[in-house]
Amino acid sequence: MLTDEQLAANFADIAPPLTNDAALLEANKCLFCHDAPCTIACPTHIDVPAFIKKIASGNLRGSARVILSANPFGHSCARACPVEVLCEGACVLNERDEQPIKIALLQRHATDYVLEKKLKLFAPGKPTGKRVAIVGAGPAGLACARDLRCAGHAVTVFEAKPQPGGLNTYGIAEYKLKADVALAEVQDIVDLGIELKTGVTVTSINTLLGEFDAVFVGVGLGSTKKLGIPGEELPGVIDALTFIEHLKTHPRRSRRRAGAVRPTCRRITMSTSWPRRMAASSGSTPHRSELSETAPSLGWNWPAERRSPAT
Amino acid sequence: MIILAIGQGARTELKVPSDPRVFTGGDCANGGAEIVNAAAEGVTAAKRIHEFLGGVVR
Repeated sequence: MLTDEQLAANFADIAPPLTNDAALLEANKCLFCHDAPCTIACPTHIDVPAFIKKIASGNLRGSARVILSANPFGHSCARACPVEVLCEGACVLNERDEQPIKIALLQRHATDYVLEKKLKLFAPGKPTGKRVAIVGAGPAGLACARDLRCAGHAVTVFEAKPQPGGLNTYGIAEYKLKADVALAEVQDIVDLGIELKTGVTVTSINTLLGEFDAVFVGVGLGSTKKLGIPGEELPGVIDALTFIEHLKTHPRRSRRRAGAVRPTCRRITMSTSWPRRMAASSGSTPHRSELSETAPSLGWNWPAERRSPAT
Repeated sequence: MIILAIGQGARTELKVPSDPRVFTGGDCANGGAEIVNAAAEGVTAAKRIHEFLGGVVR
């Protein structure tokens, strides 16, 4: 069995934060490209050179404002974004065979600062008298809610789960994003005067349209798909989302059992590494052919270096 | 223990009417992507809703 300390170490931040000095050093390495490819690569088009320049000049509040005005989920994106294929992957330093600027860690440095200092960077707009309903308190719904509130509309968010945040709260691997950070980020948005109704499952959009001027639907993707084979309902068979949600909402306890994981790309890493982090005696990712002889072959094999589950 | 991680399905029981007052975004509209894609779509939807409600989008 693992000790509590070993468990805590296994679930610790996969990318620890920068110190103030390390952040200054990193910020001053940026070339501040005029046609910044990092900004173009980001789906929310954060002005990356601008926020890094502000870190370099010691203006963390201004830096966070640049980040969060473009992306209300700048805190969680700094921790959970696949930056190697987005901003950092686009950094021109890659082409000079150098390490790209650590954009995610710099973004975390600035956004952590405002979260820790509880700085309020945004305010609700002048009331317009319009009412908007948001269905789903995940990143899409709350990003929409924040900007609508800043524009002065009255916003009501409906969430089926007991806590807001969607997969940020319930589904992101804990060594990337902890639930308390996700909830603090959400609280910052709700504090703008958004009415949040948790534990409420919306069953009819048409009913909402009778009460509200517009409705935003951001309900996410619900349950994991079913395999449709015998034995799926047996105890001990669990879907990845339920497994992660359970881990994130219950105190951790060590397990000494084998874990098998049927993979697709989105949940593969965390689903295979979590049983190992919890000291399952093994975690394995059986190939399709191992599970069902009748399943068609995809003519593709999981790369050998990715088969090791404890990465 | 066997963990199934074979992709997620949309919440099928919620009917989303084809109505100009209804907007969508996030995983249910893009089939499943990153937090940053959901945030970007939420921000874009807010601009569209604001414009729809008669506001001026900068």
